[in-house]
Amino acid sequence: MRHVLKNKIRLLMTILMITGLLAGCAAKDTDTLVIGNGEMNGVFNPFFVETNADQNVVKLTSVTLNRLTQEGLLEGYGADYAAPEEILGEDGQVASTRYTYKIIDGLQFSDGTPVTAKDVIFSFKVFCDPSYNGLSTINTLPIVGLEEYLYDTENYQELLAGFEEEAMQIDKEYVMDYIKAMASDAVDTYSEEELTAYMGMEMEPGLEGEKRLEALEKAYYEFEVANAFDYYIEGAQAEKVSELRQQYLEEKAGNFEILEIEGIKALDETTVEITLNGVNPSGVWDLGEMVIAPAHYYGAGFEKGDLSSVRLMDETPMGAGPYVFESYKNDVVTMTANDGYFLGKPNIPKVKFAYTTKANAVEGIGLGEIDIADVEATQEEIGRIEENKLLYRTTDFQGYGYIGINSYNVSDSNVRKGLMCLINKEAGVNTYFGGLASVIERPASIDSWVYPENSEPVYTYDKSKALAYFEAAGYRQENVNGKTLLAKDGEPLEIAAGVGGEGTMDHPAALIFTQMKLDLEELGASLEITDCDLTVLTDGLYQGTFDIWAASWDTSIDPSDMNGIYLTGAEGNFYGLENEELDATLLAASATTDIEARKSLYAEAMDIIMEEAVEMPVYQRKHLYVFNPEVIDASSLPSVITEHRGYLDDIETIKFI
Amino acid sequence: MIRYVARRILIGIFVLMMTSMIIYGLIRIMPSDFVQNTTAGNTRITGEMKEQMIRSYGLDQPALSGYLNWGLNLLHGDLGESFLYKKPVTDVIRQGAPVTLFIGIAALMVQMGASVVLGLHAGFHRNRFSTRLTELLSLVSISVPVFFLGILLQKILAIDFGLFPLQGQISLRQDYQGIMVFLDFAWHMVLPILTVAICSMGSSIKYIKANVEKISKAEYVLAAKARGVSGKEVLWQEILPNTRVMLVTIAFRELPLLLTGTLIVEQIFGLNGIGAMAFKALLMGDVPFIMGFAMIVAFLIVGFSIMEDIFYHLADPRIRIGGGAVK
Repeated sequence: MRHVLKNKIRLLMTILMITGLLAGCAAKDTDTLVIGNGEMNGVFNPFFVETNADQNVVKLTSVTLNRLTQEGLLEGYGADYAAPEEILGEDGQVASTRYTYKIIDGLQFSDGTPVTAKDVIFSFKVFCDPSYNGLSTINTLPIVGLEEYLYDTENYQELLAGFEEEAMQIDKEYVMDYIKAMASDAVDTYSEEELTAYMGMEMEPGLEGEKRLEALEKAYYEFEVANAFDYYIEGAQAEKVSELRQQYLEEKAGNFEILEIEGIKALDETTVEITLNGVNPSGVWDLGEMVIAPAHYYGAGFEKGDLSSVRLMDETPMGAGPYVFESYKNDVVTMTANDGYFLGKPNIPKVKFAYTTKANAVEGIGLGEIDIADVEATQEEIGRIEENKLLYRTTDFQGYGYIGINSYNVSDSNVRKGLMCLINKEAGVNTYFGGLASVIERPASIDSWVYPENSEPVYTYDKSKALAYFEAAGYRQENVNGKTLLAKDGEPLEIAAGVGGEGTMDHPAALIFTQMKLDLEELGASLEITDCDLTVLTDGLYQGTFDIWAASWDTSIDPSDMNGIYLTGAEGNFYGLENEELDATLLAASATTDIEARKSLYAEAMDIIMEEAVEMPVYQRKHLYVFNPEVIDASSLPSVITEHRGYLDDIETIKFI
Repeated sequence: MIRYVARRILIGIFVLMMTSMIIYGLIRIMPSDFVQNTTAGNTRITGEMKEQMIRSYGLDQPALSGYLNWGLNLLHGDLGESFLYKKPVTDVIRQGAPVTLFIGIAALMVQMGASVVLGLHAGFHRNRFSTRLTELLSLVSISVPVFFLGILLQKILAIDFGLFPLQGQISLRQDYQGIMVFLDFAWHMVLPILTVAICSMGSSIKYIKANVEKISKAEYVLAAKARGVSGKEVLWQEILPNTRVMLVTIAFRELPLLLTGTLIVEQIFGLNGIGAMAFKALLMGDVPFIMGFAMIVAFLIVGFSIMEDIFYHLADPRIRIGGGAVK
């Protein structure tokens, strides 16, 4: 028996070894670039792609009208880039903005079909279809005639007015049902403690689980009906309008009459003109980054209001990009170089996107399983990269960390400026990130076109300067019982800080606050640091609990989102900032499409923000792209890689050693 | 027996219905839904767009009518379309099933094989060094977390010795054909299978060992020994046949758990099996996929439980099921 068992073990080992040898010793494929990708969902349809991993596949198989430069500005790609043209109305204001796209000569899809204006218009129609449920926001742009197209009537305003009128007639029961739905949402969104505190009640003891939730929802519903019924009427009416709109579109399905969008026109075979109502500074990016999809491929069977035929191509993308989709099997996408790519056939014949976990990426490159991947920027990863003798490039994240000051709580700007002078950001950032983050001086992404060049620090770490600012605010250092006290009219300077270090002070600003606390204590003031999770910190910001806090902002290519942060009364204005000059500057910057004018206006706005001393931009994290220098010719990679323009955007230039 | 099996099937259907209701209810009361998760952080998505998405995914329906719709579709064999993968749930499951089933079944075979050998050995030969070693192994197997063992095996066998691939399910540099495709796939599955098998064999070894110890004290075993039957013959002729029922029990209970137990392994080794898909679906609120996955797992557990009873009877005809006394 033992003999039989031994034989079986020998047989098993032999099979494994042969398998390993066969798989491991087969000739290496030197024609394929293997890119470590995130987990793909297999939705490579340019109209419905949702994840970054799937988007990478779309990027290589298709072209967009324009594409981003390293700074996030636009340049010609599938079509020439032309600055938008502002058309003035009779009142001298900008009535509309015109965007013209002339398709590059000789541009063709990978099946050899020339790209024409029809393809561009088809692509717009899919994104603007009434049944579109993807993530593109093109259909939110004020394109001339879009509302008429969506509602399928020239008199859409009358139609909407009719809906609104009908919505005014909703009865009490409808509002009650709406409140019930809102109560259900509230129970999902807020904790029991928050809701009971809001209602000023306590839950009945003995209730557990589902029953407790039901009781809480019922109590909240009854409380809202009794105390805030009128508040909900407007929301219920909006809900009714939405219902009526949906009903209307459902009735219209299959019987649409308006089949063209007035503001989207073909001027000739290869030129398309898009007209937007008024000024929309972000429009140039929304329009320019639109994929040109082949109408003959995605549009077979396409009818307004029904995108089911377009969805059939979810797993098999086709376009005019540098690579041609071949297959998606075993979580690997395989593509071959597009011979007819208008920027020249890519140097590497084949590309594979393979799902690679972040934890395995560096080792995977070291073992030769993959050639390039993006990884978390940590010291640990840098160590593994060096150990495997690999190379990396860094890019800056779109977003930055800052330290904010609440100007309601700290109303004297000199006190705020004094606090700014106690922010030792270089030391904090370098200690925490070890060189894997940039120290920034203005509230914007450092690689954005809007970030002012050569920005100098407005406040540098200097305790004596800080004291001078505090003294300018009326604070004096006094000796009380042998201790120095920094006080004004007998009131000591006491500051409350909040940081989202999850209770372990694991946050880049934790070191800065610790230093600030020591410095303030030395000056005779105090700083109480609350280290909490992000939810508590956010609640604290809304409630004004913290005088000073550390958090971060995401940024987008178009800086109009600054309006939601710095305008007086804006939802994200946790600073309590109220500055008319700043408001006017920001509004002026988002009322023009002239990039140079906008650059200058945003630079001014950022100076005002810095002068107000409500926000100290601190750091911008980096991202790593790791590659194997024994496989990839490092000199063929783009010299500058940013979040706006990554190596995939210029993949045709990459070469093997 | 037929009446008993029919009754078990009816109870099984009831259990599946209850399970589906509870799971559907739990998904729908989760704080965020698929639309919220997909659009999170995208400030440019308007409320109207979100509403359009909510309607198109049927998330505007109350939970009860949503559940009834799902149930009605299920009766027609339609598990719905995955929100995440934008295709029928059955297709998505079919896509992920080969990896998960291969790991699950192979790991079960390795686990059972090793557990039987080690459990029999440890139960029959007490007070030996090898027995202590087996006990230690089973203790380690029970204690060591799956992710730790997976990473350890990756470090030693893939990174340091380069014997197996680090991750993935196929070699990316070769375009294999024919049998080589399967061999290449199997080679990629070795470390995930070992991870799952080692982590789940501890309790089986202990269970088998305890049973073998018990059987070893049975009168007929003692009588055989008294007759001068050799130890090896006692083991093969008296003890092993009496562990059949126990082995059936272990196999049927482990199989559905192995299907769900591959989840962490799939994450570590970058495999897109059903477990990893279900995990992602749960995070994103992909109601149809979670329901489909949960129902398949529930069906397997219920189905295997019924099959286990039938196999009890087949493995040992003395066992009567359905209320009959055990003779």
